[in-house]
Amino acid sequence: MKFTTFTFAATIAVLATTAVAHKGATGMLLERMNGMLAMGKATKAIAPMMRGLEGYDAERTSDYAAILQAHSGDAMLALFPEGMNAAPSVAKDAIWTNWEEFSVLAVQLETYATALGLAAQNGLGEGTPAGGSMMGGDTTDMMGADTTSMMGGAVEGEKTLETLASLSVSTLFAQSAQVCSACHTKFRAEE
Amino acid sequence: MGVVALMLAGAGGITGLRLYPVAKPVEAIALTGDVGAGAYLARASGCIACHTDVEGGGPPLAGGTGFETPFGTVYAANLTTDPDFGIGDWAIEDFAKAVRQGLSPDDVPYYPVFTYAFYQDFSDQQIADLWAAFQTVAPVSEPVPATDLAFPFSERDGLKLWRAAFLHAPRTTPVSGQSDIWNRGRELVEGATHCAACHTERNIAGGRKVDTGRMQGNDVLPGGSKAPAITSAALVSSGWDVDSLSYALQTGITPSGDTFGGSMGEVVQMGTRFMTQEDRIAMATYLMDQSDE
Repeated sequence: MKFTTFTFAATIAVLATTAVAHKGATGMLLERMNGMLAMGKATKAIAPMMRGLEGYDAERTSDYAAILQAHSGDAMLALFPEGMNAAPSVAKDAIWTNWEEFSVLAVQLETYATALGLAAQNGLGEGTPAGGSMMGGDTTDMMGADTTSMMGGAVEGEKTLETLASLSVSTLFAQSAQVCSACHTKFRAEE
Repeated sequence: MGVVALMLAGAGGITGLRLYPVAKPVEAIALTGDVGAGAYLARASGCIACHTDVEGGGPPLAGGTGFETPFGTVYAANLTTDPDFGIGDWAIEDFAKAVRQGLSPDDVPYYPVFTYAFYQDFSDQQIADLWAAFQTVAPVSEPVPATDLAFPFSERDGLKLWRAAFLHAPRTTPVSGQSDIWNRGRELVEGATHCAACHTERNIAGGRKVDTGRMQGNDVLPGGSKAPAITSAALVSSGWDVDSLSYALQTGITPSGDTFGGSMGEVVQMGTRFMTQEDRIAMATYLMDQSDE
């Protein structure tokens, strides 16, 4: 119990690292948290390249996309059996009360990751245009009419893999991260 | 002004407060607004993020988002063009007063959960732009839940005292000697994007501790969220720089490879990711060098 208390304290501490927070997790929960950690580590490692601070390497992009693919979609969903969110998990109950939206986000991440892998040879690209395509002078969009899609609704899920794979690597990377963030916003408790 | 307000409260109580005028005159605004510029400003200012009940799947800007404060729950207003439940029967001057002064068309103060304090310097053109953008929002004929605050907080006139004590001018004035990009960042951070609303500690009355707690974080945000310190020193020690911070405002990615969740995730999802790269860099430039302290 003492260990559990320590783990909880570490979880809520502002500077607690994810690695520390994962102590005490076992079985499927540990696997799940390690999957998240693997994606985070990989993202940290590749972000400077995606921001153009390091030379572009298509192989690194492919490897990164494979890591995201391995931990998203059905593989991710299988690790979220109903109610498995006791400490040190930071998963919210909303995952199961709003499973459909959670699933859409998990699958969306897989789709973006797959597209990223396909687009790797295209090069980094120009980076996301100012404000992203969602701006584009479309005020309906700007005024929030696409809220559903922004928060992981069906609209973005309908984008075909082919369409996505034609986007630049930097755009796909940014959009993958936005999917992660949308999911964390809705379904992860704040530490 | 604060002394006058307090004297009035003592002498006339609530009735006195009700009569105590706080509205500043609103000049007629005849400018033509730019819908795109207004929508951009609405995104940056968090209008859409706060006034859309994302959790409940509500339509854009129809309000209903509940903010659980220590004083009770306040619900974001319906800002659609519905004349009964939204702002469809307002004039642009009503809108200007609401945004810049935090007062209803009848001069009733809004609760400071609405971050109007940061919008006080919005120009007439910015108001006209916002107004034009809000005219494009489809009406939603749905009321939002009534605020649920205990007495005396339920008395909105009491907010006049609060305003006298805690309503501060935004720190948006350009600083000479600083670069244009830094000053643009200052204008956004201290104004429209109102970072300090969440990232500054509040006193027992819910007023921001602008002298001692500026940007030093807040552990008790509405709904139980927390906002970390974002002074320049705190940001540096957490591994941020201008590049990573501006990128985070687009993607949510933090220096550790994690992505934002919670309130900050919402800020990025609903707001800053729609901003231009230049503006995000400006914000980061200012945040990493808040050197006018």
